[in-house]
Amino acid sequence: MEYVITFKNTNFAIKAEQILLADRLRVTVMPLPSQIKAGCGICLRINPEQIGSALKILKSNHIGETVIYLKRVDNNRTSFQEIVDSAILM
Amino acid sequence: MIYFDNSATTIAKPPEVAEAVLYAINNFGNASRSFYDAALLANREIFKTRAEISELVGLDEPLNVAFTCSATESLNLVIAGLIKKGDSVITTVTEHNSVLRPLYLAGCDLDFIDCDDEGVLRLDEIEKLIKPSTRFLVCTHGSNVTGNITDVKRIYEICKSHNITMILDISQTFGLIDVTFDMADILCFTGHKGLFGPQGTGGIIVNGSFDFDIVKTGGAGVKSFERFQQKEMPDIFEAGTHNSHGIYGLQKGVQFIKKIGTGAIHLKERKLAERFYTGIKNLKGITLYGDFSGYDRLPVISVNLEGMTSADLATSLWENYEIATRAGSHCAPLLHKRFNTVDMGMVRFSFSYFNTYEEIDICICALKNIAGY
Repeated sequence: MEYVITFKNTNFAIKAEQILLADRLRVTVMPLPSQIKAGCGICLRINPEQIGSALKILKSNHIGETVIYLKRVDNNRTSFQEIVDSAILM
Repeated sequence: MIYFDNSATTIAKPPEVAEAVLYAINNFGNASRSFYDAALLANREIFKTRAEISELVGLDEPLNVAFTCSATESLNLVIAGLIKKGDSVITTVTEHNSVLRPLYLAGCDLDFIDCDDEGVLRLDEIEKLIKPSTRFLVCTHGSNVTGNITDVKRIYEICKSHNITMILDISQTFGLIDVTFDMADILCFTGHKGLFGPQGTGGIIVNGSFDFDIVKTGGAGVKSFERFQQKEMPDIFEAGTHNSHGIYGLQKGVQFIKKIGTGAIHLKERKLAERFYTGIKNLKGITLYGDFSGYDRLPVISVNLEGMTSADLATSLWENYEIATRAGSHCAPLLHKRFNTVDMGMVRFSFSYFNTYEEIDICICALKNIAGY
């Protein structure tokens, strides 16, 4: 299980990556999964232990218009569930 | 060669600039287009260059920096994106064609701030030029002809008090002296002059948000199914593949500027220019153009020698002394009319941090010889 964060464009994705890496969070850039509709072709994935810290850091750096998804793999099938209220993760 | 055409482009650059370009050519993928290492490397270094440049002007938002191929492209995009036919716009008689021609193309109504016999703008006249319909003021920070630096902070204060958006051409000043956002709303810069970056780099820096019309569009790596380009910075000005190789080189140039400091750079260049000015100002038949009453000048000195055209003088300097200068008109037509040098032009000497006092002295001797001493 891991979380995926999408952004409104590539510039914000790279800015977010740089900010989170500077705070020693382990984030990885990945292509946008085809199940997710977003403007930007890349997104960040992060483990559940660090998603709360990551969201707080992104908020304090005014990285807006992010969408958070929970990635699950059940019976070899990958699904992405949108976290509508991401505040519960912080 | 003694190179004194640094206002056109700097040739002597910190070695890390060329090293970076070579590295980028061999290692960068296409930024914003994918997620593998080579593409992300380009993406991250472009972002880092935005951060370095925004920091240089005191902004904390790297995404307020958009890259273009030159200051001319920057001015074209900003002017076409904001200024419409019939808008009232103030500019000056000292402008380069990179400001004037986009304004003419926009079809706006222009009012010009005049200058005195030394090319110093008459800033007292600005208030009289402002009409209720005036929405924009576009001007240059430092003249590529006279080396005069304009008090743009004063102009910006006037603009703010009249709700006028100020667009500043910093082609000749960025990297040489401090440029900050108490000087204008929008800055248009080049990378290959005072910033020591490669040719083909430049950009737009904004302070705040502006309602730019889309004037350039195409692939951007985002929102591929929408008909038009995104309207926000920096995407609105960055359709197509970035010049990531050049931008990475520019990053190293900017880092060099920060390491040395614009104060130290300006001091060195000022001393070079003062030594040259002192050595030639009393030559028989010489005419110097500009305000030399103070120290706050760019390292640019334009001259004519009586009895010679500027082309003849520049040719003599090159063919007999291997001194590279620029002759003719300098893309500032209104200023040449003001100085009555439309036909003869001027010879411009422009110095850089990497020039030496020895080179200055050789050039002074050369001019003395040519002048018949």
